[in-house]
Amino acid sequence: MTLQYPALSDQQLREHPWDAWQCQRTMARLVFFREKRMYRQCFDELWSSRKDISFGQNGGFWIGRASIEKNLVQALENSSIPTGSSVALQSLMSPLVEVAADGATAKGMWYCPGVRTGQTSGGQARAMWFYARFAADFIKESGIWRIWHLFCGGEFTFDVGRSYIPGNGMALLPDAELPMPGPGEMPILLGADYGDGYDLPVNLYGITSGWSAYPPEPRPYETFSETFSYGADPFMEGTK
Amino acid sequence: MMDNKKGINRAAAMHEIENAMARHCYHHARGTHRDELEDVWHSDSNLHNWSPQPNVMQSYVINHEKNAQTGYVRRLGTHMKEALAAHDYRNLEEISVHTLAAPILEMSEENDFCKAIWYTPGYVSPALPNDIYRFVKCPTWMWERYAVTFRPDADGHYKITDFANMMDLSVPMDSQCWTSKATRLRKDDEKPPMQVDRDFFHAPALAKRPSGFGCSERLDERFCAVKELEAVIGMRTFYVGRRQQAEEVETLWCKNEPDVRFSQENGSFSGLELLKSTYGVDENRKRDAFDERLAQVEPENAGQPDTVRYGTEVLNYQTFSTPCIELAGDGLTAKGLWNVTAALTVAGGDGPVGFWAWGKCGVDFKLEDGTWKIWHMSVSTQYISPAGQPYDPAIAEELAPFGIGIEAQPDGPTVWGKDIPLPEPYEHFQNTFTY
Repeated sequence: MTLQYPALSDQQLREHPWDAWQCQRTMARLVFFREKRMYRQCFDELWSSRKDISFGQNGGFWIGRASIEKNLVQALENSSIPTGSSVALQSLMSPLVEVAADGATAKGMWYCPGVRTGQTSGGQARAMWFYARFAADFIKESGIWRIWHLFCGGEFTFDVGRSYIPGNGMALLPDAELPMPGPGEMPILLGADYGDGYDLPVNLYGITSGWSAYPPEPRPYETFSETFSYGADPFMEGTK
Repeated sequence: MMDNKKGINRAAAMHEIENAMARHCYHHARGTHRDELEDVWHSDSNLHNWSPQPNVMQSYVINHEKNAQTGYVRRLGTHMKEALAAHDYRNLEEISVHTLAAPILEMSEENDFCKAIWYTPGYVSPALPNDIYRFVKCPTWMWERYAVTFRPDADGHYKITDFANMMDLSVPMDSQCWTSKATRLRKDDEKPPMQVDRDFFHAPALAKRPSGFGCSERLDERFCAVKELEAVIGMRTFYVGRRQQAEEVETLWCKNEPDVRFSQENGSFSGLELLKSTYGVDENRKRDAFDERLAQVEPENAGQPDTVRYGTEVLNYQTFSTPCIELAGDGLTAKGLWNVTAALTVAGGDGPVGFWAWGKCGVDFKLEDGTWKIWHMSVSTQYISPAGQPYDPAIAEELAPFGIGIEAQPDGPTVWGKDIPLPEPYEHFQNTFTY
């Protein structure tokens, strides 16, 4: 489908690149805050004040402020896992940011190579590649671009210095049995409920046959109601 | 100050071009090459020029779809007809992820074309059996460079016309190093040894671009200022990769600031003359040491040009991404923090050794004669490991493959794993910290 660009005034043409850049800045600060383990500042500064914020990853979504604060701030701050000199580095590459014609929201996608170090339970040092796709809806609040929905799709992870072997539910190489999804089919929902727990276990990245369809790239759009969401809503249609 | 309309168009064009290039990457990864042609390539196919794929429609679209369809048909067997009609099989040939980092965007004066360079540290993985898909045999790291020209299409939106890509390294994930003879010589492969031309791509004409505008109230000008800063860093990647750090110091670094400084783990080097005599000759010094060592361990390769000695030449491929940039309120300075993802080749005891290195780089910029220059640069390595070997943190403490200035003493102490702070909004440089 050919890209359809909304008609923009000179004022919009002037503002949108800067708005897109501000969204990139927000994502960069998110990555750096999390690497520096500044979870509270990350949440307070970068996330929208809306009640319907969400964070999604391969296994499901956390929905709502209480759920995200509990799992992305408190749980990490109170974690008993020793961090020591371990690092969790994630880079943002291939930025694609579309600002809505009305200037109220934006959508962005990045490809995120990463590496993480830590220790096994036996105290042995370990490092793993962790490559992912980040996709986010942003909303402008009082002139500041904040995160509304964020999806982190883990592409693959495996040990540094070892041959890549498919596994962990994030295979690059095809399995022996090739599934035959229909057009536009999304994985089966295992359950759906709003709350402050681990709400929507959804198997999105059982990659067995090439690049996963989710998340799709942003496309130019007029206003948020005319585009899709990187939140949990697309997975909940028909189940409410 | 830029002309109002020209400035608006310039900013909008650069934003659109970055998005278009990213769309190329995602389409390419998914195998939707035909859609990519429609979305981001110029509608006049006579303008298409892709090196080394001369016929874009045939080689990039048709051949790919044919391969993917062949594989899909083979898998599905008797269910072929129904499945072909129901499923987009184009993602079944390969996953080809060429990420975009260290951008350099050069808009022409009249905004009628843009020449851009990106560094692409990515990977390629086959989704088809080896008898159908022959490009790589297994998941493979593939780090390349892109040089792309964009021109406005009939609809006014900027699209790709010229495209050139050159590979810097290719090695199976993750148990091999590109320097190993098993990887380099490829005796079991029909293809000739990989050739890499480090001098491919001419240097962009950085100096003549409109610059500054950091304090402008016009958002298009502030956006252009950010792109300028990204391009300065992209140019640094370009010069380092080509062992042209003398040119880098001459072109990109402040000349009028007595405290111009480069810092990394093994110390700080302050002042332009010290920078020239240490940082500015570092890559050449390492190349000489490398050649000397190589002459001892692999005399058959010593003295050969880079194009035939892939894997045995000094490699310093440093990509900058995740930009977090703050423009000073007074418009005179700027600060930025980047992630650095690097592949390095150095002279080890038994020959060339490759490393993966990740870290941070904090940079202070200052306007000199209306052009952004690097004032202070501070690099911190957070992860380093020999390519093709399991991680061992003890190695990190012993390594200084990018150490500089063996003839000169650094100004500052060695600090391994130092923290590089996030920049915050500021008005004047005296209100912020120094990198």
